[in-house]
Amino acid sequence: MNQPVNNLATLKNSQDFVNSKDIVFSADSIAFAYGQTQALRNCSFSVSRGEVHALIGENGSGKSTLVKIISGVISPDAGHFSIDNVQYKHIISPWAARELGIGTAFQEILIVPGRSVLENIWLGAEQSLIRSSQESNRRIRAKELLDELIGEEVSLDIPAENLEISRQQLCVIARSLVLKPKIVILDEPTAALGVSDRNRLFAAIRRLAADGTAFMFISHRLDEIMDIADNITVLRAGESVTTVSKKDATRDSLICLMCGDVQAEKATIARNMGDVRLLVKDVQIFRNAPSFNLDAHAGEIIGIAGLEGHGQDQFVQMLAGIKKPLSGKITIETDKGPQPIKSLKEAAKLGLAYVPRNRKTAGIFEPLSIVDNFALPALGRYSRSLFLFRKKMVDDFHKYRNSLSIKMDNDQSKISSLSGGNQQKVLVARWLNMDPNTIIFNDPTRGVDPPTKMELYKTIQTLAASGVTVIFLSTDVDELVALVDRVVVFRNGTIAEEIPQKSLTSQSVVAAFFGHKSSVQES
Amino acid sequence: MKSLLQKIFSNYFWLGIALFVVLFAVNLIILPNILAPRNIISTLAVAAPLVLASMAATPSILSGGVDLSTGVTLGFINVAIFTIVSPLGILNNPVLTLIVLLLIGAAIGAINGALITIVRLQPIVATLGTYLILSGVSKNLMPAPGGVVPDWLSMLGGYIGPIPGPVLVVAVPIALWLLLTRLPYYRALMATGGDERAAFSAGLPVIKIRIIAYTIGGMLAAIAGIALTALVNSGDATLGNNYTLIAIAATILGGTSFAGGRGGMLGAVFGALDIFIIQKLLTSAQVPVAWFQVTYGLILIFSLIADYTLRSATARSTGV
Repeated sequence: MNQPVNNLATLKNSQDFVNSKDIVFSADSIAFAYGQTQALRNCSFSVSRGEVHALIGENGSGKSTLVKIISGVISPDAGHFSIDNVQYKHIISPWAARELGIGTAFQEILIVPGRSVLENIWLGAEQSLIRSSQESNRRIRAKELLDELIGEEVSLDIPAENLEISRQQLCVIARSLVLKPKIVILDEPTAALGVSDRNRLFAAIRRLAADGTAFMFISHRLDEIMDIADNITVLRAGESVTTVSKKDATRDSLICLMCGDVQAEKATIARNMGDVRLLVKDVQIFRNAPSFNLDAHAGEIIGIAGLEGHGQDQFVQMLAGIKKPLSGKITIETDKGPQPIKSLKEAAKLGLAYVPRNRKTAGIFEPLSIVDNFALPALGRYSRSLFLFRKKMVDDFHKYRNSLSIKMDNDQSKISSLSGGNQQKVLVARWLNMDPNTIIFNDPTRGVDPPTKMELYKTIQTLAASGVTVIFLSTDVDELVALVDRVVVFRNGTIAEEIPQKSLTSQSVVAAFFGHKSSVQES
Repeated sequence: MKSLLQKIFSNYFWLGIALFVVLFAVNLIILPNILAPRNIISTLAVAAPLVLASMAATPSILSGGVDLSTGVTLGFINVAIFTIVSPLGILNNPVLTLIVLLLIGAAIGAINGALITIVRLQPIVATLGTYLILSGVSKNLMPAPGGVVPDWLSMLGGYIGPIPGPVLVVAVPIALWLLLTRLPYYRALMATGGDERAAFSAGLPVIKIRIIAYTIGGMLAAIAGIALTALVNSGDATLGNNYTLIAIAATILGGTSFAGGRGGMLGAVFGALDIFIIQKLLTSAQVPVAWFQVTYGLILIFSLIADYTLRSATARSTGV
């Protein structure tokens, strides 16, 4: 059923494909409701052969729902698609989508535990339960994809869950490409990727697009969109607002389109730095890495950066008391002098709060309500003997609900009814409610839309202005540049560079990732 | 040093085998004549129903569910031989009888699978329902034990020509399963059990895959029921109930994860043999029957703890 794409090779570059005659996919007035919630109202756009088409929008704007509909996971309530000028009311199953030439890498990294890399890449690619293509052919194809996406030898036979998260993500992307589809949907494909992985992925996308493959690309990182997309469709509250060509778009104009009339602006609040709050002395993370020192002051925002796997994630977990350093001391200043951080629980008592990286597995209790999720670690405060003072709990929550502008209908609804960005805000509210003097964010804006990010930045700056020390690990270089007082860059398990605010630019941070002194980015 | 320990522990049913080796050695010391040709066949005939029952319990667990009705399906097949197949007048025809019984088993499994995937009942609830229904139907069909077994069926408990019947009854399903593991179906089953959402969104037909898993389980339960009938040579509606939980316990002892997607049929065979030898040893030591189940339970729990501890210890020492 798939058309071979090779016969299009006469055309020179991807731009040649972007014209209306070559439309390979279009969606017309798609609508879908999850029970009461209208996730998509009226969504239309079209994608041409060889085009990289970005879909952007706030969390809850309907992007992920749209992805599920196009990949056959759910059926729309209204509207229709056309693929190669054939109309479809809906795509009945994920397999039907694959047969129509659509390959999808979903936002969640859906790796089957216990199964090999090879099997995970070929997962679902063959419908027959009896006959299968030759193992050797499957290996060749998988290796070809991994060579391009990972760039180094990876065993196809180890369990996929043993790979680091960035490679798992690349495996899921490889899965979407394995059948050489003519339409590829990548939903937040770079969320777990470091800079070099991302560059390789973009090179692969450009190569495939030049051969005629159409891409739908979803990302919250506007710099990525501006880098890779040809055209951009903006979704707002389940409607496609407009499609713009990249030539006519700027980051600011996109942010404006995404949030309607709300103006996005950088929040800046004047603040003073106080005494040293956190002291890191001679800490060693990895066995062969040199030790390092760091001090963080009251009212300071320190950014933590580095390429994936260079020790920064371990470091913030050590600050939070989750992991122990191989050697060295981490202390926090209290009324009774400096105290060592022994465990997460101990750290919380000393006024240190930690907002973990993966909110799904490390923070949110899915079956519980929004308020219960908010109040969970502070239940002691709301209870006397066996009774719980729900009213006080709810009041406290609404205080933060307003200041963080958490969007929701009912505080007793399950937390899973909120969009990802709003779940993240509830988590932040949870820790603010503990009155911390130090708060550690581990990549809090991963998968969060720009307007929500802006609100979070404002909250962080307000916190810092009130004297709280903020440690902010981020994989988004731009937000570090916009938000923090200084950035410490990890390389090979140690602090390689510390960049003060006055020389803080995205070039200087990325250069530090690679140990370049110049501002030239490695490609 | 890394490779050897890791190789051992990376096999999902290493503990089932290790336990088997130890138990078998103990058994040889205490009951040395176990390997005598005459004894070994009768021993295997006694072990066959449990081995097959735990094999029958395996596919549903691999698919991420569970089938509580395996045991009573054994009993139902046993009863069906005298109350359904015999009245049809085909009991003296082995081929027709086997076909009918396998179809009954497959139908029970397919109904379980449909209740779970199409009606969307939780596996434990759906199969609890079929467990109760089958158990009641069996008692209604055959209120009192009885019935006469045709010659060909009792031969399955002894010799068919030069081939020991119990070996044939167990070896054929194992061989067929091993063939099945080479099909894409097996990969699809393990993927569905490992992460159903990932499997579905990647395009696998998870409903079909899960129904087939329960159907295979039902057919294996039917074979187990035939082996049981060959052993006891009569019909008894209450026989199957004993196998309900012990079959699942044997599967888990054989290294199959209750979370789905990890494990396999050979593990179940060894798990069942372990439980069988324990039972034999306890019997010969004249331990009261009431203590048997206590022993199974303790061994199950301790072996899972041992498995977890040893596995994570080796993983840590080798720095993985």
